Amino acid sequence: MITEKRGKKIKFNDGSEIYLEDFFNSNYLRFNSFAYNYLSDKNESEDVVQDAFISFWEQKKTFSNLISVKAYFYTSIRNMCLNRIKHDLVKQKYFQESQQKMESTEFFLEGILRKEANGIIFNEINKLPQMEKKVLLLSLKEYSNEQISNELDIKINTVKTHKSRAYQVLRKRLGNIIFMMLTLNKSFFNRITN
Amino acid sequence: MKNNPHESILLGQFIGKYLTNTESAKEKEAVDKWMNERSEHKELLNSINSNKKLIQEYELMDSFNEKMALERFKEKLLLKSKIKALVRWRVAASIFVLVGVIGILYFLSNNYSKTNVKSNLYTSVFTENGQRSVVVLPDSSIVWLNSGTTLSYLGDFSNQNRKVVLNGQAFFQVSHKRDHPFLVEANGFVVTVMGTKFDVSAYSEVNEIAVVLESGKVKLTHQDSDSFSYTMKPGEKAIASLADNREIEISRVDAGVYSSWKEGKLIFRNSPMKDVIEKLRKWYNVNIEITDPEVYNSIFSGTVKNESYEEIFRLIGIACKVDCEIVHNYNKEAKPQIIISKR
Repeated sequence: MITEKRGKKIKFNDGSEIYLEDFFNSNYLRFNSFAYNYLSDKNESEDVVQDAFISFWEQKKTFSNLISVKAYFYTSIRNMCLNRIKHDLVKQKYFQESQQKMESTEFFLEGILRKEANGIIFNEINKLPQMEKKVLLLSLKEYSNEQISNELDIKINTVKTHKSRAYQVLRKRLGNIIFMMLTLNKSFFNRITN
Repeated sequence: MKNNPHESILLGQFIGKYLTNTESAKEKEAVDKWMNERSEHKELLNSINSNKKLIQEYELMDSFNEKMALERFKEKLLLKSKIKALVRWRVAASIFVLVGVIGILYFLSNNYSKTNVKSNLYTSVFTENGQRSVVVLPDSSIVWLNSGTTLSYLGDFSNQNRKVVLNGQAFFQVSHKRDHPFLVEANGFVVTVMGTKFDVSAYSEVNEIAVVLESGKVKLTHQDSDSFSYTMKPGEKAIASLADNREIEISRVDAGVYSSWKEGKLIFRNSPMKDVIEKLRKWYNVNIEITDPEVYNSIFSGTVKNESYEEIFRLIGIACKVDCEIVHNYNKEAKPQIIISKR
């Protein structure tokens, strides 16, 4: 396993490098979930991402750094997805309404931003101890503490402890903070411009 | 959001860290700045951080199997780098892939001495309808066999003597051997190549040969005719038929799409219904009956992969505005029957 992994590396112009396998592991889920934005089909998304990796490896292009490899992947996955939709009559029927949106740059860039953010959140959630993770996922599904305690067969107080620990990972206060800043800034700016 | 993917990647990562309390001071600054640029940015951040989105994205990512995908990727790289290994093919779970390898001894005549026996040992690889397979030949060329196909070669097949006989459809990825051409004999035609990728379709019941060249160079000739010879260019599809005085018809196709069957996929792009039916019949090993000739006027585009035949014919029904009636035959031996009629 290790020797095989040693064999294949992505090398960058500045002389640094990364194992192809590590790159695959840290980006596969993001890329898939990005392709799913376009195709709404898990199998097809996986196909596209596989094809993207194969053609990337075969082309032997050089890149200046890790971010530019990722940018290359996002761009080619997007193109491959749009191509598929264009050439598939059955799909075209499903996607007729959303096609214009999907071809837009905004959709593309927002997709990238979301998937990169969600990829990190996904990893952080998976780092949690098993129970905390379960509690967090259920409470994201809007389960009440009581429902969680029934579901996982633990005491309500234990639910609360797990929950508060898990929530330290996710910045849940955020919603309020943003709202406050929004209103503050607006009045602040108004005063200045006036 | 700036107008290039680089910026989106970086910002996305900063936001991911920000929302998990793992950001650096600089990253926090960048997110704050971005957030205060536009109210849409705040809305986007809120949307990412909403319970509904968080769980939705988590579950979507969680539903993909990274490990399996990595194995699949490595397998493909292995195959590409032509390491001599028979690679297990990932096809739809519903489709069985069986390789039947039969060695048949032909003692053609008594003239052959004992040392020649080995060279008369025929190896045949066949796939039945509904099955597909991949073979690695002794010279490390790789051949993908589509449904209902037989590929045979003599026991003395070697790096110097490379000849195979085909009945059906196969995609060849021939390893380059200087001065030793690779020959494919099918329906009396001979395809001569040095080292390249191409698709040959020559089912004996259609009496013609269709060759699609993906890369490199191949020459198409006929056993009984010295004057018949055509050298193909990449991206070309050549159809030669026995019936029309061996006239050859050249068109351009997307070679990747044409040979998509070898990836376990059937891709149709504006394909005439006649082609579609012929391919699906072999692909799923079903009987298809057409009640109105008008059905043949339809064209179909679509990709078939893991879908069941029920699902595909339902889609064809919708896309082509025809009725597809499926008659299940519960007698084990019998194939399912699909009756397609005008709506």
